[in-house]
Formats: sequence, C-alpha cells, structure tokens
Amino acid sequence: MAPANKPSTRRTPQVRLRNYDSDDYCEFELLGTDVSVANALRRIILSHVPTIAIELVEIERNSTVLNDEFIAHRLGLIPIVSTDVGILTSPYEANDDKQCDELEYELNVRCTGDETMDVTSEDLRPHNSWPNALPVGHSQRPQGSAAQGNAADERPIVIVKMRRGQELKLKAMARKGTGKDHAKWSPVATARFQYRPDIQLDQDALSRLSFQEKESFLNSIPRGKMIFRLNPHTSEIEVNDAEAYLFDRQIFERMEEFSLPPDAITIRPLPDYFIFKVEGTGVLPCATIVSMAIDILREKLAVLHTEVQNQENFAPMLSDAAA
Amino acid sequence: MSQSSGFTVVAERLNFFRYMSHFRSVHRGAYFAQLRTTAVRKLMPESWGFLCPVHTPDGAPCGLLNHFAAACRIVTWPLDDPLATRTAIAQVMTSLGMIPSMPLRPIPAPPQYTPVTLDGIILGHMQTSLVEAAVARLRVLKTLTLAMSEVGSLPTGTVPPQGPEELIPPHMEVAHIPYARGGPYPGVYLHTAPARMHRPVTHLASGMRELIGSLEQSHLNVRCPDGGLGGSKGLVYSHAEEGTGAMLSIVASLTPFSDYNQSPRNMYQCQMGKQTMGTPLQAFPHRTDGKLYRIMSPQTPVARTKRYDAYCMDEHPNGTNMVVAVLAYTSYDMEDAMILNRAGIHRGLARGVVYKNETIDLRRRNPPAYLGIDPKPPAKAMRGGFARIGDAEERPKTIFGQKFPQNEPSKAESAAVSQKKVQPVGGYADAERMGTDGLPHPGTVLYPGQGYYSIVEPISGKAKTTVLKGEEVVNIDQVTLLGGDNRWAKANITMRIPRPPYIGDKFSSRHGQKGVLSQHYPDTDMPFCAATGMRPDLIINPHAFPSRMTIGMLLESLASKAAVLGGQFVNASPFQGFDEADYSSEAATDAQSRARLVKKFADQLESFGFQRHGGETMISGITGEEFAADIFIGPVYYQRLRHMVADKFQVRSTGGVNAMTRQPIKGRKLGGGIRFGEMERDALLAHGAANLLHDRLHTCSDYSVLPVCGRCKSLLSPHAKPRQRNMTGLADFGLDGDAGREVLTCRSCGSGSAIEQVACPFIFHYLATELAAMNIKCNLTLRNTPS
Ligand SMILES: [Zn+2]
Repeated sequence: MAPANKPSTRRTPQVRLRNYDSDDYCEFELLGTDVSVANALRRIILSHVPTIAIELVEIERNSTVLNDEFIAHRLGLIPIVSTDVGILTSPYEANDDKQCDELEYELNVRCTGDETMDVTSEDLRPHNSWPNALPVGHSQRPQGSAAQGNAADERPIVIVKMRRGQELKLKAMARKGTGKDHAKWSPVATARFQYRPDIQLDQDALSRLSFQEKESFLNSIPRGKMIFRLNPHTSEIEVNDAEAYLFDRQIFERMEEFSLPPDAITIRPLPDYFIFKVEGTGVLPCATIVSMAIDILREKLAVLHTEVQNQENFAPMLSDAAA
Repeated sequence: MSQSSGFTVVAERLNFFRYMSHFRSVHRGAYFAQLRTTAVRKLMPESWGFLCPVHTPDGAPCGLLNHFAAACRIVTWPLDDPLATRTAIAQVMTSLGMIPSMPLRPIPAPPQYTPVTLDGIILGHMQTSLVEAAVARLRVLKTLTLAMSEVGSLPTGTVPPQGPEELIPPHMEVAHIPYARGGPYPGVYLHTAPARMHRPVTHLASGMRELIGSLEQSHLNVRCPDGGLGGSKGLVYSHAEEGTGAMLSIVASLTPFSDYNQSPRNMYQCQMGKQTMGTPLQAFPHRTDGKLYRIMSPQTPVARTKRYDAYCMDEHPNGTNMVVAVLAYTSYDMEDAMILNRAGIHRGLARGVVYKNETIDLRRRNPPAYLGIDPKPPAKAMRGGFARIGDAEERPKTIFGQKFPQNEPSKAESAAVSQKKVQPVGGYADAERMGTDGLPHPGTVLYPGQGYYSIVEPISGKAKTTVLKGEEVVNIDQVTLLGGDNRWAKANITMRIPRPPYIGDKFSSRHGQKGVLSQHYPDTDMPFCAATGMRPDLIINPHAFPSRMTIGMLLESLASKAAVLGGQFVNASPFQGFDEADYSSEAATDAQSRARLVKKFADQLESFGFQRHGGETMISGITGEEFAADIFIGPVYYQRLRHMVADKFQVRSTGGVNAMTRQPIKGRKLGGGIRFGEMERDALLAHGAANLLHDRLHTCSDYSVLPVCGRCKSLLSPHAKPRQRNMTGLADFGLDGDAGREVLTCRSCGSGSAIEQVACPFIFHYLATELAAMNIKCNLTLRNTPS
C-alpha cells in the first residue's frame, strides 16, 4: 500500500492515431505513460496476439522435389486470415468443456502439363466451418471481411514447383497459437516504437555561424534539411520535423567540426511520448492487433493485481523483503 | 621417390567449394612434410599467378598443399605430331638466325653465342645479338596461334603465321635467360611437353593474349594492375596481368573485399568455405553418396565478387544473408559465441539436412539371402487372440507420454484405408514402418531402436531385422532397388536427418570469423532499430574485430546494407578500382582507392536516410531503453559449417565399464565418458575441491566395496563359496532362507570371521593382484579389527 503522502502515480495514457491508410500499416502515438508500458505493448504485439497457422501436416503423397518436413514448414509459415481467432480455442486453453479447435485444409495437386507448375496457397482447400480462415491473398475470401487489402498486389504464396507427373496430396491442420511458441503465429512483420526527440536550440550560440555556414552545417547532418529549416528572413535555424532525427550521434560530431559549443543544440528523448509503427502481415487488421494487445496487457495486469491483492500469496514475499 | 601412398584422394562432395578444390590442388609430396627447412613451403616468384598464395591450409601442410590460381591451366596432352612440331620450331628458329647443332661440332660458349634448347635437347645456337628479336618474334607467333585456337580468327591488320610458323604451339614456353655474371646458365629454353603450368597474360607489344609458363615468367616484366609503376624506376614492362585477381584461386577469389582483411583470415575462409554445409549437387534424388550435407533455404550473397558470377556459384549456394548486429548483448556472445534470433530459426534460417545412405548387398551374403519379413505376428499382437490386419501396438494417448509420437499407423476403419490408398498396419513385427518386402516405407519417421529393414535367411527361413542406431530421429527419404534376373541384388535406403541450428553448431562469415551458436534468443528480447524496427538475425561481439582486423567483414556489411536498400547486388571483388586505374600516373594510391570505395557506400546509405557508417540507434528489446552507443548493423553472408553438436556431443551419467578395471569406458559411440585426466585433476587440486575430486575419480569411476581379511591383511584371500546345506531338511520346505547363498571365506585362514567390507577403487584390487603375481604381498591394516 502506497503511503498517503506520496503523489498519486495514477496516469492516463492516451493513444492518438496518426496514420491508418490500410489495414496493413498503422502509426499511432502513445502518450502519458512510461517506457515499460510502451515496451510491454510492443512485446505483446509481437508474440502474444493469437493468430491461426498450420500446425500439423499429414502427407499422403509427395513426389515433389521438396521433402515432407520442408513442405510442412512452408505450409506453417503461410499467413492465414485470423479474424475469427477470438472465438477459437488453442491447445493450451482447451479443457474438458472446450476442445482445441482444429481447422482442416486439404491440398491435392498433380501436374499433368509440360510447363512447370506452381503449387500455391490458392490450392489449399479449407474443409471446415471457418470460411474466413483462408490464406492471405486467397481469391475466394469472403466479402466484407475485415482483412481486405489491395487484392491486386496480393498474389498467392508459392509452396512448391512441380514438373509433369509429380504429385502432392496432404491434409493440414491449423490451430490457434501465439508468436511466443513459434514465429509463424506472430501477427506482424514488425512492431516498433521510437522516442520523440525534444530539440532545444540556443540561437545565441548558433548565431556564431554565418548563413552559408549554417546551410553547410545542415547539409552535413544526415536528414539535416528535414530535421531543421533555415529561416531565410531571420536567418535562424528552426526545428522543422524533430522526428526525422533518429538519435544518431553524427550531429554532435558536426557541431564540434563547426566549433559550436555543445549546448548549442540539446536533444533529449521525451520519456512519455512514443511513436508506434505496426506493420501487419495481412492476417489481422493492425487496429485489431493493437486493441487485442491492449486487452492482453490489461488481462495480465488484472491477474497480477489479484495475485498481489491476495495477501496469503503476497505476505511471505513481503516478510522476506523486510528481513 | 620415398612416398608410397597418398597419391589419390577421394573427391568429397561436402560442398561445391571442396569438390572443385580437389581438382585444382597440388601436393608437394609427403617427403617435404617432415623436412625441417621451410624453403619448399615458400611462395617463389615463378609460382606467382600459378599457385594461390591464400588458398593453402595453415599448420603442417602449409605451402605444401597448394591450389592453382583461377587462370592457371595445365598442358594435359602431348603434341599431336611431336616430330612435325619440333621440326617446325627448328625451321622457325633457323629462319630467325639459329645455327642448327651438328654432330661433332662444339657449341660456341656464351656470352657471344646463346644456346637454344627444345624440351631439353640442344637445337642449336645463335648470336646473342639476334636472340632478343628472335624471342620477340616467337612471342608474336604464340599470340597469333593462340588467337587462332581460341577465337578462330586473327584481328584485322595482323599478318597470319606462314608455313612452319602455324605449328608453333600456343602453350610453348619461351624462356630466355640472358647472360649475367653469376646468374643461371644463359640460353633460350623452349618447352612443349605436357604437365606444365601456363597462364594467360597480355602481351603489351601486340596487345594480344599470350600464354606464359613459370620459368618464362621469372625472366619477364609483368605489370600488376595494382602495382602502380612498379618498384624500380625505368622498368620496362613486356606483359601485363589480365586483372587484379590473377594470383587468386577460385575459392580465394570468392571472399568479398579480401584485400581489406588481415591475410591469415583469408586463409581461414578458404578452409572454412570448404567445410560449409552448402549445396554439393543438385541431383539429390538420384544420388546414393554415403553422407551428404545440404542447406535447405540457401541464398545468393548480396556482396559478391566478379568471379562468383563468372563461375556460376549460384548453382551451388553456400549460405544465408543474415542481418548482423555488432554489439555485446546478454553476454551470450562472449568468446566467439553468437546469438541467433529464434524467430529467424523458426522461419527456416540456416536449416540443414544430412542425407545418409545404407546399402544392403544381398550378394555378399553366403548363402544368398533375400529381403522379406517374418510372417509370424509379434507376440504383443497375439496377446488378445488372433492377430489381424489393423492390429497395432497399444500406445499411450497423451502427447508427452508417447515414445514415438510421430508413428501413428492407419487404423483399418480409417478413411485412408477404406479408400484403399493407405495400407493398414500389418500383423507382423515393425509393420508400421516396413512393408511385406522387408523394406521401409518412404516418408516413415524412424526413431532409434526401431527396425527398418529385414532379411530372410533362406535355409532357416528366419527373418533378421536391422535396428536404427545412433540417437537421432531420421526420415526415410527413398528406397532404391538394384537387381539382376528376377531377384534384387542390392537395396539402398536413403535416410534424411533434419538438422535445424542447435546450440553448439558452428557458423562462420566469409572472413574467417567463426563462432558457435550459444542461444536461440526470443525475437521480443532482441534489440531493434528505432528507425526501421528491424531485429537482427545474429549478434556477434565487437571483440571479434580488433585483434583479427577483418575489415572486409565490416565493409561487406556496409556494402550489403547499401545494396539491399537499393535492391541490387554489390560488387565485392578485391582490389577494386585498380583495374581502371591510370598507369601513367601514380594518382590512384592504395589509400585513396580504398577511401573512395567506403565513401561510395556511405553516400548511398546517406541517400537512403541512414547513417553514413552503418550505425543505427537501437532500443533494447528487454527494457525498451535506447542504447548509449549507435550499433553497427547490416547484412553479412554467413555459412553454416558442418561441425554440429548432434555429431559430437558426449554425455554420460552411467554406462558401460571396462571389465578389467571397472572404470568407465571411452568412446562416444559406446556411450563412454570423457577422460578426467591428470591435468584436470591438477586443476581441482589447485582449487582445493577435494569432494569434487573424490566424486570424479572414485564415486563416479570404479568405486567398489571389497572384502578384506583383517587377520591375514589380504585383499585377495577372501573369496565367495556357496553356503553348505544344512541337514535339517528345512530347505525342502523352502524355509532355509540362506540355502545356496554365497558366503565369504578367507582362503588363507579358512574362516570368514575377520572379513570386513572396505570401500576402495577397484583398480586397487587389480594392483594387488599384479603385485601378487610378482610375489609381493600387499598388506592392509584395518584399524577397527583386533590383530
Ligand atoms: Zn584370513
């Protein structure tokens, strides 16, 4: 229990959406919290948001050039639209009342032509009551599904190539899982956050440089003309886009070269301002991924909270700490 | 010749580098290996351009086992018509001023006259003043006949060779040794015989290609593209190298930016490139090599040399482009260990396969046996009554309780069986894996200890099943049958062992930087780039660089990063920029050329919005905080070496013991231990770890409890003999519990009353026995026994 005289640590984190042009990419700001929460959110997006991926493969016939386990591995990596993942049960969640859900697919292809034939994710035939769980980019995706991207630049994924007479027949079973168990269940290509730089300029110190010198100074910094702007009227350097600065140290080396004092430009990362960028793989819309991640984080905190509340569990630890 | 063996070596198909190198290597001979002088191992001027200075092993065979430079050729055939060619050469030489040799006529001595020899036979002599012009003419003729044989036509404006000139072989060695006081014997030495090395260079006078030999080369001035104007002022060049890579062998010239590395590192790469798990061949389904290594998702390197393309190395790719971050993280990268991203491994990074073949030769058996099964059903299936097709062994239902989880035979009532596609398991032993022909089904997963083929002896009619040895799970890849008339003579079983990267497997970049995988690090814990969110595939420690000075690896990373951002490959040939250098001036110095290259990549990186020198701001995946320093990160081509823990690990808690000493046996295959030797003992003694020492050398070794007779003080006299039956007759009712049990008695005093059990190493018993054989008695005084 926190002492009464301590200032309240209650914070009100905010999410501000910046860019959400397609379901596969989103950019948002997370404000009013600290790095532990931001990083927890990133880690949960990467490895705790559940998706669907092929887990078991039963190969009946395989006369292709790729061996059985290699094909099984490739099948596992095919992203499968996972909008139904919320109502599925993973093997870990299964109990006597709830059975682990298994989504069946079938693949039966034989090459009869003389041309090299591509066996793609298009050939995977779903065999179950989950019509939404199709490979990303599959032509027969249900209308109005949330994971609608630009169908034109989505092509089916090649599994194996075949010559005349070769055959591949198998049954695949997909399950719900998380990226913690295997990277194939990770819902994103990447999820990252970066700090927002706070740039303070000391115009007195900078005024040592002439206009031309200022210009060459900015040119010598990576992305210098993006971060800063040279005001032609006042001939002062102004901050244009602080985020273009990526916390590299070249700017300070240049400052030394231009014999500027070290406090002419001071840059520090803001401790409570995080810019998140999430790149999806098409299995889930990024908005869903992020909101699911927040739910999971909240759930985990709730579990922790009840455990801490439970004095019986917590008391021995407290007495240990006191001793 | 003192050497009687070692003239042939097996052309191993470990990977294509190794296979190719076997055909381009020369060994100086086993005799020189023992020689104390190092003179034979040195690289002499005459071997420049013929033997690669980089591609030789370090250690004992260094400089004795050499490899040909890429452009070096060998004359492998004698001349078509040696007499005609020799006559033609003599005619040409005579026309150039040679006086043919005649019997009984002495040859005038140098320096006024110069002798001319052909393949060691004196052809004649000529006035020294004429020699230079004659040799120049011979060179022109060589270039012309070479152009005729290589291109088929001569460049316009050249006068074609006439008459006997046409027969001058293009590979003829024209070594002109001019007269010099104290120098070698002067003369014009012509060679046309086979088994000579020659290599192409540019003949500056005609601008055409000429083949030169090794003796010839020592007396020519050949310009190297990166040599500038040469060491001595006023040196007149007669020839020029065709490129900067002239001295390198094929394997050595595949190392990117090798001119930036410390030289031994390039030698290490030549060795490690040949130990890489790569793509040894493409016809995997048609080959039955004993053992083959294969990498499953190979890539073409982003940074590649010109020779990589020239030799079509993409046909046999050898590694993977990994995003490598150079930082000290988690300390699992200490001392040449490296961390791989677990997500990368999940996605198939550096995943390999080992193919093993087993040949069953039925003809070798006497009497000839045939493949087949024991028709009798196994005892287990019999238990419930009659064995039927479809009866399978009972197996536990839980996932983790199953010993062989992947072997699940089809049930008779399953859909696969009812559709007649799959045979249900039969009522005989090993039916889950083996067909009635006694051979395994392709695609079967085989666990150690399971039978996979069976042979029937024709006389007894008994089947003998062979069981899988080792500790690895294998897949049956294919079964091939070879046969004669209506009977198979041989069967070949190809087994496939999947080898994902395990902790302890060896990896290496192309710059002699090898490392051992120490962790499969979770993707979430990996540091990530703040700008791109990229997590590295691999982390190596920065301490790998200062002492080894493999700047080429840093440059490869930088160049590949710039190239990848631009979506292109990058030329990583060594000695770049010199080929185009202007020879008339000293402008292109080494340092300037190098600085230009780095600047080029830095500019490219900057144009893509990255830091000039490959650094990036990274955030720790564990805490979310930024690192204090920028991290050098970029793609580097990594090779997976064939040394894998799965083949090498040795662990034992209990197992076989030596019958005589009762100490653990040695040998990995036998389940033996690793010797805890004297030096290891010394280390523990130095630490004062007496309990550990006692545990290793006694408790875990030959600890035994031995009977000692306290009266006779002997370890050897107590022996066991069966207890005498008592005459009460109780034994008949099973009431004499001790009947038949052995009892210890001392042989020398005849009683067992003073026998005590003493714990001691069994080897002490052995010592006492050996001493007894020499008539020395070993007395043991037991403290608590009254003497
Ligand atoms: Zn005795």
